[in-house]
Amino acid sequence: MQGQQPDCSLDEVFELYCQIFKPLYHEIEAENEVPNEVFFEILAVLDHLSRMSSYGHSETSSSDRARGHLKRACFDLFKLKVKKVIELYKQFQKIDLSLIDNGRFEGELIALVSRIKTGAAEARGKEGRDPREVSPDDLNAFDLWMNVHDLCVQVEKGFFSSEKIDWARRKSAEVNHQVSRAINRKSWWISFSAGFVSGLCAAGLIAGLRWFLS
Amino acid sequence: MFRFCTPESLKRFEASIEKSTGHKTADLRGFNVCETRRRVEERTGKPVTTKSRFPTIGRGNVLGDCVIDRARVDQLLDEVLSQ
Repeated sequence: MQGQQPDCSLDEVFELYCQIFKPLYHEIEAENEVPNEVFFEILAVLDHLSRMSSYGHSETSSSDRARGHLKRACFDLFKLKVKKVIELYKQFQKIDLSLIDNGRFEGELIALVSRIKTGAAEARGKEGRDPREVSPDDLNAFDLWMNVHDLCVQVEKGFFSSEKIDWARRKSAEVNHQVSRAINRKSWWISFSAGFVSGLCAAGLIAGLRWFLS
Repeated sequence: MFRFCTPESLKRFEASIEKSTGHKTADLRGFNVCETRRRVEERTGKPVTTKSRFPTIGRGNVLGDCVIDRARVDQLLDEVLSQ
């Protein structure tokens, strides 16, 4: 199959739309903000499909081009999922997660995020390949992105939504408060001591000057 | 009909979508897009809006206020992944 351009049908475009794109779209829509870029891709899909009736283009070529845009829209939605998880992870890094389960929680989270990053890099590397040119045993970009998506949901639901995070946040805040209080107390004593010593020095200096002048 | 992915991957994808959205994938596929938007708006109390996510996604030659090539888009994703 390598190098051949296999025929694509309208059914395949709509299969990709229903099977993969639509669930992904509904997932991101639930966040209230839909990416413009995805709409542009969908507009391009519609444009290619319209050329069948408006300009007499063949179903094969129009469907093939439409499928390319739909694939891009799906990959973009997968990428946004990864971006969201990595950004949330960065926020959670401000909390001392090592307090949870003797550090096991943090270790597992780091391992999962690392797998997401590796998986996303691998999936992106295979985006340009036509799924039909891949041997049946070989995983294509969709397989790899779906795996990454699954890991992202595991992190979101298993870690970011965990009550343990709230506990760690409170605990971190308490520790930070105690540390800042200790620092404040220490800096007060340092200021007080410095003031006392400089006062003594000034008094001594004045007394010495008076004695010298008299 | 050609395959986009293995049946196992599709199954795993459907399970993760269900976990993420709380809806069955079969239902999501059948939902009318206008109706889901209305439902989301009712649930969140805010209208669904669109937002540019460029340059994380999108093609630079047609989107955004500057010309950016694919290599730069890939580089930006690398930066996100390395954080």
